[in-house]
Amino acid sequence: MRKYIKGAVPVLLAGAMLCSCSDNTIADRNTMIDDIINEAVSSAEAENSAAISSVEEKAAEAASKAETTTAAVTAVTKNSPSSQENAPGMNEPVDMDLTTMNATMIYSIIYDLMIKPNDYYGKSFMVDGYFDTMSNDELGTRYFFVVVPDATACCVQGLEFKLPEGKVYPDDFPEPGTDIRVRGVLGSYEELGQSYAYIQADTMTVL
Amino acid sequence: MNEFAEKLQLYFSYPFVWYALIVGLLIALCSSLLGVTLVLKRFSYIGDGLSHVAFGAMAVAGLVGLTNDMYIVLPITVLSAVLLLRTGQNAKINGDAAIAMISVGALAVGYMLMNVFPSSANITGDVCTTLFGSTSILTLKETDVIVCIIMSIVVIAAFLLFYHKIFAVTFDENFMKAAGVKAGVYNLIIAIITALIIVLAMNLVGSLLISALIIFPALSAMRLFRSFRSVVICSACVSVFCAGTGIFTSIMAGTPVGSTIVVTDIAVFFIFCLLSLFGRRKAG
Repeated sequence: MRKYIKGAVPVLLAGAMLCSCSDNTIADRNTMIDDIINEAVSSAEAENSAAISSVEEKAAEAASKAETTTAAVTAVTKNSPSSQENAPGMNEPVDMDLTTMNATMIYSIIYDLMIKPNDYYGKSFMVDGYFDTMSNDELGTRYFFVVVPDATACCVQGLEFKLPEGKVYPDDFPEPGTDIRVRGVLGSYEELGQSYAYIQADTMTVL
Repeated sequence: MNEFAEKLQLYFSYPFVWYALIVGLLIALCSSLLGVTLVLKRFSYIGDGLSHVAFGAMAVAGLVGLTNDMYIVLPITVLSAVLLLRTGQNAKINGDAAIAMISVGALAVGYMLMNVFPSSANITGDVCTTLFGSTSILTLKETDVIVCIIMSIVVIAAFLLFYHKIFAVTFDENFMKAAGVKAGVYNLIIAIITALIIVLAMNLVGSLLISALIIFPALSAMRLFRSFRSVVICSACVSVFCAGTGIFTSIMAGTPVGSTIVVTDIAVFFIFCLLSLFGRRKAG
């Protein structure tokens, strides 16, 4: 019996190696952020399109609520550091307050959000990071990000956000690299057949 | 204190924190089991060498354009482990020289390939993540955890099943051969298990810090215990404790996971050194 068990061990080892081969642990670590978002969102969509649509409805509803609220307040404040405390709605509780968490947890939560956005749609977020922007000349679209580095500061996660309508770049936005705090509700939008998660921000404050 | 408890409760409400803890503890357990053998066989640095090989293999996988680089990384790492552990003692270039040669060679080739044929826009981030682990352990998925559990079970089962043979290979390979036992087969098993652990542990601490995960628990245990069995058991306990404490600290304090685990290992090593010193004085 012992002989057979011993004989089976190399087979088990080979099996474990094959298991590992079917896994994409380390490969994922090195995939570009955009690829991760695209892949995760598209696969999640294929599996749960019905679930997503209901979640998206909720998210859109929540986002529109946020926009309605924001219409009455100033969305962007570029004042002194103390302005963040006085910014409208900044003191109200949110579902995911990432400003009180450390770099490791913030980075991990945003990564998780990119992989499993369905778990987070419709939730309100408050996140600190630095501002960055990029544009797609073909589509004529400009994208805005709050960028969060990890604890080792070698990797970053960019979380897209949109300010309420009427805000114009560059007048209503800070310089890229400026530390900002974004507060809003996570939703999703479609572009060229892909779904993207974003924060429909009600406020963006320069820190 | 209340705030700390609330934060703890909040952090542990995320599944990925539990995944990190489970995988971290399992990797620590597996690496410590084999660590004792590798230290005693004077292959302490093999973890470093093999992880650099894995780094080079990852660069090759990126060059080929594989989305899942494990198809290349694992076979190359296993092959290197077999070459180093099985033939190392009989080859013209043996022991530490072979490891050093493979280690720096793979690192250099890998880094050059990553720069000449970049597979992503963030080469610095890719290199940093691979070398230092970054937050990889906190970005695991359910499938990663399941694979890790399966591989850990295989590693632990193999170690327990071949415990006596591994013991014999560790201390006197020549006697084992003279007694008619195929030492090469057991060296092969040790090599495969070592490669599996290295590839697994790259997620936890990154390729530059893997050696610490293998050697520190074993060296700490050797400060206090003398028999092979007690050293293995103590090493496993120390490794699991340090990994748990390191992961917990990095989650709560926001420090890099891999280096926090290694710093905890170093602290325990010095504590054990002091305990050993006091123990000897008392006995003397």
